[in-house]
Amino acid sequence: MMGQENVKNNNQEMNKLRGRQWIETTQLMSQRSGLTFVSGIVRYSDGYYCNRCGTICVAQLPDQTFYCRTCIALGRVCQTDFLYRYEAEQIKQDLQANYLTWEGELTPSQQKISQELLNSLALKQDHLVHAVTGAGKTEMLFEVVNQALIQGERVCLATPRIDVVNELYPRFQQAFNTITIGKYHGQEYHEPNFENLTICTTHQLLKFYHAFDLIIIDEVDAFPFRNNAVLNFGAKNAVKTIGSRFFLTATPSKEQLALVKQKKLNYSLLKRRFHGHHLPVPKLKMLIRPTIIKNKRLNHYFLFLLKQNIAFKKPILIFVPKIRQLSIYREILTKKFPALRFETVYSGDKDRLAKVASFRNGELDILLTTTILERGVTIKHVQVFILDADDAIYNSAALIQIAGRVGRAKDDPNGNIYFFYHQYTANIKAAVKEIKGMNHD
Amino acid sequence: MTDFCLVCNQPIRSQLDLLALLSPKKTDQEHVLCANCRAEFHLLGQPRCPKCDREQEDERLCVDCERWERMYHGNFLVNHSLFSYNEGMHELVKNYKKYGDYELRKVFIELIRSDFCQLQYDFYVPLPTDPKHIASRKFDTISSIFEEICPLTYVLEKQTNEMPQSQKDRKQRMTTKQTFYLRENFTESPQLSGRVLLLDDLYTTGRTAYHARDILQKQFPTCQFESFCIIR
Ligand SMILES: [Zn+2]
Ligand SMILES: [Zn+2]
Ligand SMILES: [Zn+2]
Repeated sequence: MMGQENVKNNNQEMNKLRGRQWIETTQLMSQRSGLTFVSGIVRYSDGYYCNRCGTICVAQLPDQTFYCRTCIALGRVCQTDFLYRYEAEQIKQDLQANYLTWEGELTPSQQKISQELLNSLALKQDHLVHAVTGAGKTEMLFEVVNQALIQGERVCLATPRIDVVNELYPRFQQAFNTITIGKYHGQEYHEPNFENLTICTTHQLLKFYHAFDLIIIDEVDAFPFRNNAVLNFGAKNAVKTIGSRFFLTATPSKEQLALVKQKKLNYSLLKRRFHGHHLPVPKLKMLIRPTIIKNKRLNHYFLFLLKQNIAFKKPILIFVPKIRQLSIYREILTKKFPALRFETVYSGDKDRLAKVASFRNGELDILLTTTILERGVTIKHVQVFILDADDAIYNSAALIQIAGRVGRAKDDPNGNIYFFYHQYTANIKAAVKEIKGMNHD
Repeated sequence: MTDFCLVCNQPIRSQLDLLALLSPKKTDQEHVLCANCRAEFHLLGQPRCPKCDREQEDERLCVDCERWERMYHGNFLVNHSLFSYNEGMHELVKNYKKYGDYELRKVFIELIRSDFCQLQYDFYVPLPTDPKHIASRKFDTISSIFEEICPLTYVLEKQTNEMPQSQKDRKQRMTTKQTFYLRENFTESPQLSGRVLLLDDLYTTGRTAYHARDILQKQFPTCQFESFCIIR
């Protein structure tokens, strides 16, 4: 939280707060121009709502006042608190004629989308990019980000996952190597500075108010449905009244497609991966017997197909729905295949990045994982098995993302992706339909 | 009705409801934790230190208790604890105390209720928290948990501390000075007698609990004191 007094008195500190919103427990004494406030929690006819994240609040403190649990990790918002906002425009000076230091080349279809995004930026309109996994979305963004920076505009690239922030940041830093890029997520323990280009988690958007001329939200589908409202609320508040929001996704929502139909959202479609090949279609394998029997034996059909794939000598990713299953599977598989090197990863795993790196370097043969590796991770030549693909944890967006891990390399665009299940769920059906649809010219 | 887990926000599966149906005794308590999150918290295993419940290799006195033995000439404060301070617990404590998510008291209550209620004492005395923290959190982290599962007797107060306990290392904790004192109006509250249980959330070295007992034993020399700290 801010130290209130020095915030008010120090111009440099004030500059950092341009486009920010933050909580104060008491009203600030001095009123700077551009500094406004609202109540932390506001009462509507049907309940109390958080002014920072837009969620309805039901939790109460002993004094009966409401507080917001949804955005509490950014500092608790209570009914008695004030949400301060500083909307001052930045001064547009010392602008460069070009910021892009990337020298790669776009494919013609990437080029087309890059141009469509430039048009939306010029018109200050919102835009949806529907692109297959492995289409090379990042490269398509460089030109439009460059254009915004040239005009002295402020740009934010937001994504739901910390891993994706960590992966995007070095790529943008390399592509725009003359500027300082802000990088913010829940594991970076510092408050945002003022930067013209910011890369952060969508959660961090709640710290901003009317800050950005352009917000690009990557991997929108990574958000569980329940949190979509918070994301939309945050993105709407963080963008300037006249500004653009771009959404990048492999699985657009019904709501987004409806907006496209009503011409409220511009739309680009990219069906081909950057290497021009089709998406590998999941091989559906229904199991009759349980995936695992008494925590001791694995399903024979699964083992049979696993053995077949092991013979290819390519890295294998196995997705399981529950963290606690990881060690059980690992134990059984290690006994079955003593010559192979196994490792497990899950979201809370401190060694996650190191393990993924050694898997990528070929130091591991099989990596057992939860959905944490569903996106953002590119491993060449990988073969993927999803166990219990009918588990509720896998929505169709997750299944599509996991299938999208396969066939990413130019020299090896095919690969095996297996969905093992007992019940053919609507999510499995939808995922396969979407993948096949994208492959259809 | 679907309830949502207070930790992960996922719906609490109906499996639990089925279990509840089979054992009608449990139905009167609503659940606030899903099975996955419940599995993140680990009950202390055996063997343990006979005096402070520390989980260890054998049943000998732990290093901390050896110190207390010397310092108090064998007058131990026997401590009872239920959970280990693993990653899941660390996260829960952080969200409850650092972020001030008052609602999470229900998670602690669900975790400890059945085991705690088997401990029978004449008086239950919560250890007070720093008044500065109570003012900013707008609740007392200890009594908020225990007031719903046992009758509390408020006897102690705490001075505001320069450095929070959580920022100290082990040695600094050991050498912390006494910060508790008796409530001014404690004569109005019932006098303590018989077996008294001191209540706290976390037992690290025992320094805090022993300090509390020092004050109380001086005032109520005939009482027998023990402590309960949720986490060891
Ligand atoms: Zn909120
Ligand atoms: Zn849960
Ligand atoms: Zn001990």
